[in-house]
Amino acid sequence: MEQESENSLLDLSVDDTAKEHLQRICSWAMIIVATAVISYVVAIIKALMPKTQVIKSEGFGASVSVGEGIGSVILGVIIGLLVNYFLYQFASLTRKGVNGMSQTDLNAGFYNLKIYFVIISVLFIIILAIFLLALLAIGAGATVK
Amino acid sequence: MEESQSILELHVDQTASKNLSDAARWAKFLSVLGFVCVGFVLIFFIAMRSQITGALSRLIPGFSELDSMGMLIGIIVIIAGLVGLLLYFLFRGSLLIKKGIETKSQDVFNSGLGLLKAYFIMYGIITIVELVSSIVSIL
Repeated sequence: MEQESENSLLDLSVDDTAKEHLQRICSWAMIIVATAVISYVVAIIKALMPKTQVIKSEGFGASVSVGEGIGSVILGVIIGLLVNYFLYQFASLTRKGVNGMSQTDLNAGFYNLKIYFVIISVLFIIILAIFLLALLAIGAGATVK
Repeated sequence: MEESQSILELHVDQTASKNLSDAARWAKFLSVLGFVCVGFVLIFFIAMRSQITGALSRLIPGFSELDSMGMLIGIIVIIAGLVGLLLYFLFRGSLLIKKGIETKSQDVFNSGLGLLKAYFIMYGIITIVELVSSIVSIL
């Protein structure tokens, strides 16, 4: 018990400066989440709108619909929502923890920040790996030709 | 008086320290990966500059290859600068947060949080600009 109280005194504290920083971080994280959700709606609307492009070839005009694949947009939206859910949880729990002086909420907020960065890093690695594989495939294809 | 206030204050306890240290480690990894990617993209553009400027001058009528090259360099410098600054905030912020937790230094910890705040502000502004441009492209 005594050691616990000693530990608490030795801990870093969330002082006024840290609180101010955390509150601003939470506000901007909320703005990022809101902006992301609106941009997903815009992306879905864009994907549903067929883009018509006229391709002229030797006097013939052919109308081709080249709208972005709805499947890829929905996949992107699902992944984006998952990532932003953790950012939202971080922002709301940390704000609740700081404003309500709740250590449990603050800890849960930091846990969600960790998960947010883990997911983004893993996604980044996957995208990078796919990109590098595609580059290798293109390079191999060019060498064979 | 000060001691009772310190007991009432929120603390970065063991659980919070562990979660924040892990978050900082992943954020640092992400920023390093980002720097590497920016480097690769720059190398790609330098290697393919003649093809890209050729394609741009064909795409935009009245644009010479020299104009395309100038425009391309301008865009790349602006984007690389913005992304580099964003990644710098994340890298330095995560480094200082981790150092602050390890050395139990309040000033270093607060500086780290300040840089993380700068990262989120810049990221937020970039997402707003992106959203506005995608809405404009629909209209």
